[in-house]
Amino acid sequence: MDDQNELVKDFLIESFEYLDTLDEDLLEMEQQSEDPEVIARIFRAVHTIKGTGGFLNFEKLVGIAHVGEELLDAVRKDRVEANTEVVGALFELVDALREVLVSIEETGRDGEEAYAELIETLKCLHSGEVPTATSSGSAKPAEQPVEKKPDAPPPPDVEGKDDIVKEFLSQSFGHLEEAEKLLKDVDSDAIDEALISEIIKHTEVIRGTGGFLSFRNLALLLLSFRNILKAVASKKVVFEGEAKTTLENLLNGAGQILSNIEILDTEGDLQFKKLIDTANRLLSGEPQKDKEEVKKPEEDEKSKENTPTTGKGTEKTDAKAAKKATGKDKSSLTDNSIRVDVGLLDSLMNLVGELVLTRNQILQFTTENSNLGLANSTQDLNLIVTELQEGVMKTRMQTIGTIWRKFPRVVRDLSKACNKQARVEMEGEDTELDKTIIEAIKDPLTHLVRNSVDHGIEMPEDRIKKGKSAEGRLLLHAFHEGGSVIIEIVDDGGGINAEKVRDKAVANGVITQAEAARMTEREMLGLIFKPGLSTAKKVSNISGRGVGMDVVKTYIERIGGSVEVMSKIDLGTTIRIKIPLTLAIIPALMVKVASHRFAIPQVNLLELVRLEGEQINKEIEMVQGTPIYRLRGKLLPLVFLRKELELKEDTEGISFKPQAKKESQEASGEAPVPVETGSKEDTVAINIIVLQAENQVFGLVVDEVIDTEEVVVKPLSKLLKSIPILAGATIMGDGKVALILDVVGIAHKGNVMAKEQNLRKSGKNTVRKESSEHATFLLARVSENRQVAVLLSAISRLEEIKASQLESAGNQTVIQYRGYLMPLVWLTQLLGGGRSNPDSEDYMQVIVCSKNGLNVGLIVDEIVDVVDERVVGNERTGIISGVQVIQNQVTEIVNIKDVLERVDTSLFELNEAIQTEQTIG
Amino acid sequence: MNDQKQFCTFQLDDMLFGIDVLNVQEIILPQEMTEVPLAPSVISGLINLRGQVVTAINLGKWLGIESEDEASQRSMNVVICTDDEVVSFLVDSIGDVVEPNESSFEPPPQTLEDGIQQLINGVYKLDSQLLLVMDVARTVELFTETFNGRSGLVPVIE
Repeated sequence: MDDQNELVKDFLIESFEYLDTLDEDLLEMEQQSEDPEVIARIFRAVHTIKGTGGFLNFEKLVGIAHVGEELLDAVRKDRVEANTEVVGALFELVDALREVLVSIEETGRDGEEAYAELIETLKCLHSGEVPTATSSGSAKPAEQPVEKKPDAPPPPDVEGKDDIVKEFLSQSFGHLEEAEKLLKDVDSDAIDEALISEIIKHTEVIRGTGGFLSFRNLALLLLSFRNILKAVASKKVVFEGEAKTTLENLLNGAGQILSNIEILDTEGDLQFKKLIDTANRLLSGEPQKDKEEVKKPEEDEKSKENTPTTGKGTEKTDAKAAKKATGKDKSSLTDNSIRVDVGLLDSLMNLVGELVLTRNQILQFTTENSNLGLANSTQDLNLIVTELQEGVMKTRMQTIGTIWRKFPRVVRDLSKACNKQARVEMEGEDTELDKTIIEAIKDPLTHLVRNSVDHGIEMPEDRIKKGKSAEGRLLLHAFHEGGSVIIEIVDDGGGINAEKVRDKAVANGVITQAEAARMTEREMLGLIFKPGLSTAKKVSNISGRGVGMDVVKTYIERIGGSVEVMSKIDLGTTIRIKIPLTLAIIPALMVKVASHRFAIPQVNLLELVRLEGEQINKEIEMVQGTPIYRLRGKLLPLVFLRKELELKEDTEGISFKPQAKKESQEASGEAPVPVETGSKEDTVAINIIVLQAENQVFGLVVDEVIDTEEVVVKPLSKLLKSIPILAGATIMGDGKVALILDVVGIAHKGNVMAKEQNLRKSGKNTVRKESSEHATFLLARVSENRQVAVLLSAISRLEEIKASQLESAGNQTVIQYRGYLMPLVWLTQLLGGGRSNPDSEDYMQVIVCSKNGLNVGLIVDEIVDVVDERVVGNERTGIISGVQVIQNQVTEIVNIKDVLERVDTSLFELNEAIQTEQTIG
Repeated sequence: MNDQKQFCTFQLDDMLFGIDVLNVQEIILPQEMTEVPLAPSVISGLINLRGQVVTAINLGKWLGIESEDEASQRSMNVVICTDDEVVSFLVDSIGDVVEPNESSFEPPPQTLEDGIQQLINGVYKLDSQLLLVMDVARTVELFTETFNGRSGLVPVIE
């Protein structure tokens, strides 16, 4: 019973693998139907499934596979053209086979479904094209495959191994007899290829199943037999004399082994070395002919997987040989691999992790002790462990391509079903991920790909109308970033209308109206991951079943990943999945803040900058309390790790604020920015670690940079899952625990992430919305070192007002201006600074703007200049719409509209109305 | 049911707690601890337990029976193993392993404070003192929920 289950399991694993390659091959066939190698491969896969399936008594499987095989055979022999219809049917065949196999996997039986329709289709295709060509194929009912079986046997799961062997024997003797009989008919003068392939068919059935049951000698003999016979067919070996006797002897040997098996249950100890040697000698071309085409026996051993089971027309031999050369590597790979339990790999991985830690400790120890012998051995240990670590890491890794491989098929089927055209492109399919992660993201990815085709890509005619090519493009892109693997699914389809999503969410009660009003576009798009929200306007039969987007999100978050969506209408949608490292050893930069050590994954690291003494004051500028450093002319927002981590320790260290003293910020009660530094005033220095988080570059200020080190990532307890800036923990050489920082988390916490992620349009280029227009700005100084720019078009006038003219109304400073009341506002106050208290004789600079016909005055310290500047695209909303360098100074671009929004003018509107009336009156 | 339950006992302030020995992985001496910034104060830090990173929880702080001079106390580690998590409870001192009489068991009195109430299964009336039996799985679950709830799970899309 167990043996049986074991066999079935093996069979299933093998068969599923075959089905996977089948999908690929069929796609290839669809594109270039003439490639005989591909067709042969498909044929062989179906044949093998059928053979072994039949042997295990999965009648239904055999029935389906058989008709498929017949059709394929016809295609192979060019009797049937491999048109779309045929390929389509073959795809269905693969699906049917898969269904049956799944059913076998789950229930042990091959299910109830009859697949009559499919069988009929396949038969029609087969016979329809060649009604008279063959009597063997189409005429044969599906239930009667090539192997002639005894009466319908009982269901497979009641059989034991003995029964299987018995079954095998009874079949094999029959096949052997046939083969022997046919071999006699072979005429050396007129080689009948059809006859030879018939013989090979028989022996291959025995060989296949025999090999499956581990009757090795039997398989070897029959392999030699097949090879010689094929050489005969291609006229490389003459069918007479030695060749003939060898063939006969081989069959005899096979018969002997079968008898042994019947009596002894084993192959016995018969030695066939001589016979096989003779066979090899024959094949190695010793007798005669064509040296270049001669195959070496060991190559045969390897290439058997890829060799079609029957001979082919000689005219195709060359092409075949060439193909074989490429195919060989592939198959030898499969031959050389073994299956290993993942649990075993896991424990190996853990052990190596421990070993690495121990090594680190020894390394540390060695540096403290100067024993030459120890140092040398440690050096060796270091090398070996490093290699071992790499090796073991690799065993657990699988390329993402293993799951992507099936997507072309999925996309093909889906686009056919929706009458769309789509092609799949892949980038970075060799990106490796841990096997468990690969398993976990398989379903979510499939769902997302389906979604992209179903909802994303438009109908061909719509696409053409929009000026896109009729064929939609779906890009799968995987790469490493920030110690994570990012998988992006990019389509160039219709995009998602964020507002519609929001409205739907409101309608479905997922969010409230108030929430909706506050949402940014990105948040709206994020709504599609909420349960109870379908993005499709109408439910189709393709999407909307099985996992929804909320489930996708749940799945990905379960393995510690995250998913987000970016979309631009008519440009397309990008789904970005980020999967953090869970089990890995990574190079990291060790840094120190206060007394804490942290590891920063080196993948995030761009460069290190150290500022000393005066440089700090000079090069770090403050914008609204946010320190910014100019790194080679580009603005680099700074994040202070000490502040982000809320480390209170070491407060006796110098608290230092660049330029802060000169500014009015202190007055506004802003917390001082603790910029650290050593302990002595004269060695003040700032270490900036320039990091990349997703698309954002920022500088992280730390106390001290220690070293780089390989660290083993240990997962954090789920108790700490809510701390976003931590990616994990590790154990240092001295045995202490250090935390690994999540750079993206820090960026978010430090508020340096761009509010709007740029949409990935294609390949490696990101679409940056750059409005390259020039605009005229008024430059004004609002406090000693703070310069702002206001769009000139938004300004009505500039005025100089004497401070003594100021009056108050409510909380508002006002002035009588041209017969009306004009509210006055200190721009610094709106920008988060304090206001100056001018002497009554001072003149103040006022920018007069108009809000709904009412004048509002903005008080600034000084009007600097009017400049024509290029506006760098910056879509931030709020008072400050962006920051850029104008006239060599960091300048905040002030959004006047937003500023005016914040000025309460309700009081004055009424007043104005009255005044207006009076004026009229 | 005949198997006598064994409890590893420990002292927190003047209270005696017990944990089923099957849940106790080991008891270790004070360890060097790495603080976790931004973590709830109940989490004392992380310790290195032979290559495994274990979170140490200050039970006393959770129960509000924190002693002022913390440095001297609360340093013994009771390493607890639940289904999917290994954590360490920091306690004042470790007591014996006891096998209390089943008949002396009672559910927790209603009047106990919520903090303790949530963590214990019941009480054994020992001769000298009451033994409060901790529900380890629920405790860890409770912590997880509380901590993650408090700081709020970080929304992925912002």
